[in-house]
Amino acid sequence: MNIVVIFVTKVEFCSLCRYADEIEKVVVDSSFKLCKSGNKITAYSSTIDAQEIKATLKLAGVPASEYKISMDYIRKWGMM
Amino acid sequence: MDSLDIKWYQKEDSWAILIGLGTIFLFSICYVLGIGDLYNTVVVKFASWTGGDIASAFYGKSATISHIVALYLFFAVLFTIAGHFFRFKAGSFLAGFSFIYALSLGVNVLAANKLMKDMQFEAVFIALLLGLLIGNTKVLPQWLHSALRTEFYVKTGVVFMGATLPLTLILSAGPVAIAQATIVAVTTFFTIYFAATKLFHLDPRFGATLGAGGSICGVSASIAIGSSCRAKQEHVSVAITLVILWAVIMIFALPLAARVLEMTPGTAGAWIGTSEFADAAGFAAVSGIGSEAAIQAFTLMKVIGRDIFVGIWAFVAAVLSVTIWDKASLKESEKVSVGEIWHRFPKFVIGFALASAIVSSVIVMLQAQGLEAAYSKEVIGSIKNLRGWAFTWTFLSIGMTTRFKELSAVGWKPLAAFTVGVIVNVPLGYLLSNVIFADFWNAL
Repeated sequence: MNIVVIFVTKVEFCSLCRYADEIEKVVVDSSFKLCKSGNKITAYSSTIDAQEIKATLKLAGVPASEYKISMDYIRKWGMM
Repeated sequence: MDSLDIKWYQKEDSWAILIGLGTIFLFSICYVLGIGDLYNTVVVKFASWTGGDIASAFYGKSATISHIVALYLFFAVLFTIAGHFFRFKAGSFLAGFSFIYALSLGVNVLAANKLMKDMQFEAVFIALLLGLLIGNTKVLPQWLHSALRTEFYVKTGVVFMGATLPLTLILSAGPVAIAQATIVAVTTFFTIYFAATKLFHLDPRFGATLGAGGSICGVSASIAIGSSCRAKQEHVSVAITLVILWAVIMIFALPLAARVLEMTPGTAGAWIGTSEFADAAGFAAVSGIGSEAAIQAFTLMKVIGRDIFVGIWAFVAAVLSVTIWDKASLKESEKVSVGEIWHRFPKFVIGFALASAIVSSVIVMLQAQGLEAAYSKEVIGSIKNLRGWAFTWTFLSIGMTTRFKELSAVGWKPLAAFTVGVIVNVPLGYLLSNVIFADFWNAL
């Protein structure tokens, strides 16, 4: 199958939340790149999709209420 | 890692709005100041010609070398500035755009031929066929790829389109367009979704992404809904592939069917707006009808009736994703922000509405001096001409980026599920456009 889209997965969490260290460890181990702004931490990846990182966070014992995951697909080229 | 977080000024929608509204504003100012010659220099229109007398295409006052160069410079400068923010290499983009512009000149000269006009073979059809021929027989150089910006060109064209539609028409036609679009979109979405999940046992996220592509607004909807429900990368790719395949078929099939069924321009435009899958493909199809009323009906149906609701569909898909589909596998759900609706909203539609509002306001102001007819002829006529060029570049780009070889191997199950949706969508769109709401669309 010819893949015609790329994606960016974003995990947002608060550095003060109870599971912040666990979340940070999971996303860094999954090669996410971190961007910190005040108490807000955003982790980005264009290789791990939202379902994969969510499953990994669950395995690490992090409840879904502790973070927010979003995903954006982008056209690889300028098709209609 | 900020590079992965796309800012507003790096988005095609933002630049389509800026270029579209900026141009309308500039032309209007020039008109008010009495320097209409300034904007007339970027209007290129070839004269009708017959037989082999191609030189007569350049006899018109809007087909001189200075007009051709001025139009090129106008868009080359604006698009290159925009391209800088999209992170294109300026040199590559400029080289690619120059090539596309040269092709578009050839296309429009050919479309000005009397025989082509008699056959209603519009510039956009020629552009599409030429693009398909080039894209499917030649390996395109890398420098050309950055200029094949189908979405960017069509969004700019849609903002120009807003200037040609009175705000009163948008407001009066909006509810009918929304009602018709909602009936078709909901029916088609659930047909494809249930065919995909119940008949062919595909993943629900995949079903939703396919359903969105076939019912809301094609590739953009597949991307928005695929993103919001977190479908897999290969599923989004399959949905897009199917949308493109069916959209290209419909570009030729719908106008032909409308002619065979002897539909009026208004109903044909509404039908194409209801049943074509992608904006760009729809504009190509409706151009084949050869009527401004058909283009207006199509635009109201597609942009007002369908496109503006993509955000709401994305929100619903996101809610379903985290509350039902995820919960089945992960036993817990996250919160979904209502901000999802705005995040997925196609912002260029705002440019379309603003363009209509600006032009309608100027016309109202000029009515006191009795200048509204002249403004419509001069300024709106010029904007229509630029819209035509933007759509020609759109269809050249569609053609060159639709490589049939690469669109193969999607699997029979998603193809079958999508096709079931097409079988429902097309007759339903015809029934609503040509029977139930026929009086309304005929009155446009």
